[in-house]
Amino acid sequence: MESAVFAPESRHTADRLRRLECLQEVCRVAGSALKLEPVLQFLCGAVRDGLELDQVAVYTLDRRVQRIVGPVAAAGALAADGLEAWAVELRRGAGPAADVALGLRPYFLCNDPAAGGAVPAGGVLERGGPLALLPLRGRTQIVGLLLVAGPRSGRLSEQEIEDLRPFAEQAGLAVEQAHFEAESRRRVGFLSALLQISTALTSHSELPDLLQEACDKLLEVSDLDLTAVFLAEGDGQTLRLQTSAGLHPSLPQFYEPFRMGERLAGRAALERLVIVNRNLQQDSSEASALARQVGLRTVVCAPLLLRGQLLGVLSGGSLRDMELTGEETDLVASVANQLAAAIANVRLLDETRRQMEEHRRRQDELTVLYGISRAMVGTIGLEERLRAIAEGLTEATRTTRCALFRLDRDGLIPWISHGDTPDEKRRFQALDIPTAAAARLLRKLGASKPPVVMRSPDQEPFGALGWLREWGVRSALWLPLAFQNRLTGLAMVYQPGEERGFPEEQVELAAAVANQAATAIRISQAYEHERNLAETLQRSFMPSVGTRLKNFDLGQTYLPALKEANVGGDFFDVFRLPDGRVALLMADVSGKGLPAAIQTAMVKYMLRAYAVEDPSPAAVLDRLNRGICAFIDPDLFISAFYGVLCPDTGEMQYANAGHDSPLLALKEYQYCTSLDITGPVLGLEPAVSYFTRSHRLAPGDLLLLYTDGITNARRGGELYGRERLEALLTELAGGKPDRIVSQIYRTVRAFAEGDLHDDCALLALKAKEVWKHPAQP
Amino acid sequence: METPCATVEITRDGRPRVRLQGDVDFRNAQTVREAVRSAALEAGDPIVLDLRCLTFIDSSGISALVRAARQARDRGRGLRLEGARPHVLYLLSAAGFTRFFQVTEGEVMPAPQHGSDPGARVWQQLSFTIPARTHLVKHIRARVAEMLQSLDPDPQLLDAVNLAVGEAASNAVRHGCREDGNLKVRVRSSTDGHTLVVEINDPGPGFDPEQVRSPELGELREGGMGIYFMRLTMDDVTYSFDEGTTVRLVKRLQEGPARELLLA
Repeated sequence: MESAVFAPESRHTADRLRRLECLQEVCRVAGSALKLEPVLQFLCGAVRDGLELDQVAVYTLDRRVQRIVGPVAAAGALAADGLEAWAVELRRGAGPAADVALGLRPYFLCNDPAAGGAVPAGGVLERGGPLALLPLRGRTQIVGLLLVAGPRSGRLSEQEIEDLRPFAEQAGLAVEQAHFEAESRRRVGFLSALLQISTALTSHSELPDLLQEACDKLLEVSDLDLTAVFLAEGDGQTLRLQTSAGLHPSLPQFYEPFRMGERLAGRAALERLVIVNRNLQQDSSEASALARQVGLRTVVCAPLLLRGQLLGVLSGGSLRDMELTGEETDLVASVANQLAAAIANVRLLDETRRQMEEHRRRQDELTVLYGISRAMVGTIGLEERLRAIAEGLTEATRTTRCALFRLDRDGLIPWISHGDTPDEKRRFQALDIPTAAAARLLRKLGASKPPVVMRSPDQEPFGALGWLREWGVRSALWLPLAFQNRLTGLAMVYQPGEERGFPEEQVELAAAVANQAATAIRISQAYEHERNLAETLQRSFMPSVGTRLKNFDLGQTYLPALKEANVGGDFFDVFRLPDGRVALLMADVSGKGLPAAIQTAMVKYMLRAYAVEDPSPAAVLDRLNRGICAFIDPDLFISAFYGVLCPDTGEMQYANAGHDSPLLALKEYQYCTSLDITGPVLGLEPAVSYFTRSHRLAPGDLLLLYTDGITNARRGGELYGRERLEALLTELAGGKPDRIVSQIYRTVRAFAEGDLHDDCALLALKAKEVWKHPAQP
Repeated sequence: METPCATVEITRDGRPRVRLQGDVDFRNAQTVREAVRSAALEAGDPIVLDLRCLTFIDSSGISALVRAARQARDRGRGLRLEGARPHVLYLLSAAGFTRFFQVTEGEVMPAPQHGSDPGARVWQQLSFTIPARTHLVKHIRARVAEMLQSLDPDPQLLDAVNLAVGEAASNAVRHGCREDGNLKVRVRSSTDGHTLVVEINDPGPGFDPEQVRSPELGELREGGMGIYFMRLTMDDVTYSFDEGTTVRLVKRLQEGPARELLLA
């Protein structure tokens, strides 16, 4: 062995110095490359061998907990127990070792421990021999201690202590480096745990999943054995276990709700602080009783707080007695904070979802209501409206049938039913509701009252309506139809054979429909009333059926603009004058509806009166114009073509007050022309003159009188126009007049794609091919 | 079959007499020349041209009359007009043609005065299309005349309008449409009792009215007379070529400032 060469007396030779340098170099290389413990181990061995010491050991200082840890590496003959005991001595923090550790003295050297007395007792000293403690210095602070013991018989010189310094320095740097790395790792671990938990917490939209994930993750990244979340109940006074992970305590009390202040979690909740409890098994407080029974030694509880509001508590427990570092406590507190935010988010999400659901439901209702409203106003006719209302009510209540009753002087009368079979419809229409039963029903379902849900046909006041049982109506919704606070009818929606409730929103929706319905019905009734009147008048304006003329055929058609469901102001008249001639009138009164219809009637009979008086069409229009200016609504204008035909000769005289020029298809010349306008529209002012023109209709000639509903028929922005009508008439002129007018109407309606906005009146007068000549006087 | 526009007869005093009746226009103007020529074969002088039953004569008819008169004169025969309306005489004299004819003094008479204000508002309008066939030109003329007649106008004025409308219509049919019956001539006319406006439209490409020069006095040629006569008889004649060719004729019906009339 080389070591034999190093006798104590030769320790200061040049050779020794050379070895020492070599050793330092090796240590430096090793220290920069290896992990801490092998480095220190190597260092200890090398120093002991190189400097021929008995014992070398390295202790580290854990500043976090202010204590000496170790030995972390040792080389020598001493028993490990002895070294540890030494460490315990060191930990007491007093005496020369502590002074070295704190940097109060540069080193400690004792060549006669037995005499010193100041050195703590222990295996090292018992054995005797010199002993030294040197600080391991990092760059800024002392990170550990190097203990060396010399041969029992020898002494350690100051010089030898100096020789140790480079090694102590080397070991100090290694320890510091290792500490630094460990700290970094710990911090990275802490951050990554927090990040993992954050990520996990934000990836859940359901509360149970979220809480489970939090418990699982915390268990995973910490040394805890049990994690649990308790949430505050609505009363703000009770905590209830929601989720736990790790241990499954068999104690039923663990799972029961408890009040604020009770148990460790309850205390954390009450105090709103992170509370760490250690050494529970030695604790005897009531709060920790349950934790003790579960077997926990350490428990940490963090309140879940969001903007000052307590949501619950996050708890963790360990079966070991754990000293939690600040960071570990922070971890729990951070997770608690994050969890609180996540819980709030999920709850917000839940609330938003609920509101959206509610919103969607409302929107659905509105859509239904809107659809029904549109259907109701889509038609003005009473019957169509009633059908739309009945259909809407069944839709709103998701039932299948609806029956509407109207209230009039004769009582409650079946009006219209929807969704039933033809047989059931007949049965409904045949219903005769006794006055007394109707009166009871109406009192109960008065206009101001909300809809009534009938839960049984025996329920008052429905008991008197025996037919309900017969029809198998077990439950129904009854709705009053009221206009201006007056009950005008009742609606019943039902589904026979089914006993069902009507949810509040359906009742609300149906009530909204019924409210609208009553008004819509009233408007339709008023409209129908006016239309009936106007139609009656209108019918009276049409020439009497079967006006037969010698030598001529007539064709006529009148179609009011159905789309507007209005009675228009077009009218025509064909009548015989006392002198045997035939008067033809085609006119268009500006305006629609009843007022126009009434004026029309006046104008028509005024003209008849003047026509009998005066043979000249211009004179008749002159008079009519003055009459209209005098008696008729000044805002009304009337265009009129008035002609007088002698059927024997075909001689026609006419005057035209601004009316669309009648068309004349001339058979002999094979073309179609338009007659003149011989004066302005009637009603403009009294001092205008009309002029008469004459034209002789020859056999086969065709005269077409029309109103502007024909020429103004539109497709997009394009008008049908007179030129098209002329061309069509030229084509059709060979046919019979009734066929001609229907053909023209069909063609024009097809042009307008079925959508004619104005009335269409057509009157065709065709001279027969062969004429009967009048008997010569 | 239409009644011939000219018939030749021998009067009791042995003179040949050519009687014109109905409308004489570009379609039958040739007949008039034939008739005069055959009348010239008869002895007796002068040849009498009886215009009492003439309802209308256009520039072609006038030209035919002048040609016939010149031929007769070349043969040493005279042509005497009887029953000519002032309007016809006016046209002949305005074109410098009267020297070819013998005219009875008393026949050139001032026209009776007409056209007192009706004292009421008058508004009339016509608007129609008609196939471009030569025999329908008279329909156009007749329609405008009918409207004008309702205002009880001076006969000379009626003749003037008749002539101008006839010229415009026959130009539209013959030149604008080249007598193609599938094409349409569009006629619009309107009057307020003071002014008459007539518009005649054809789908033809049109021409430059400035290039149509007025004939020299006494000059006879085939075309060009129509526009000359229109300008002679109307207060205003304008052409536009926006959609085919449209000639707009304006005639004041009463004394006083002209009123602008817009066609609806």
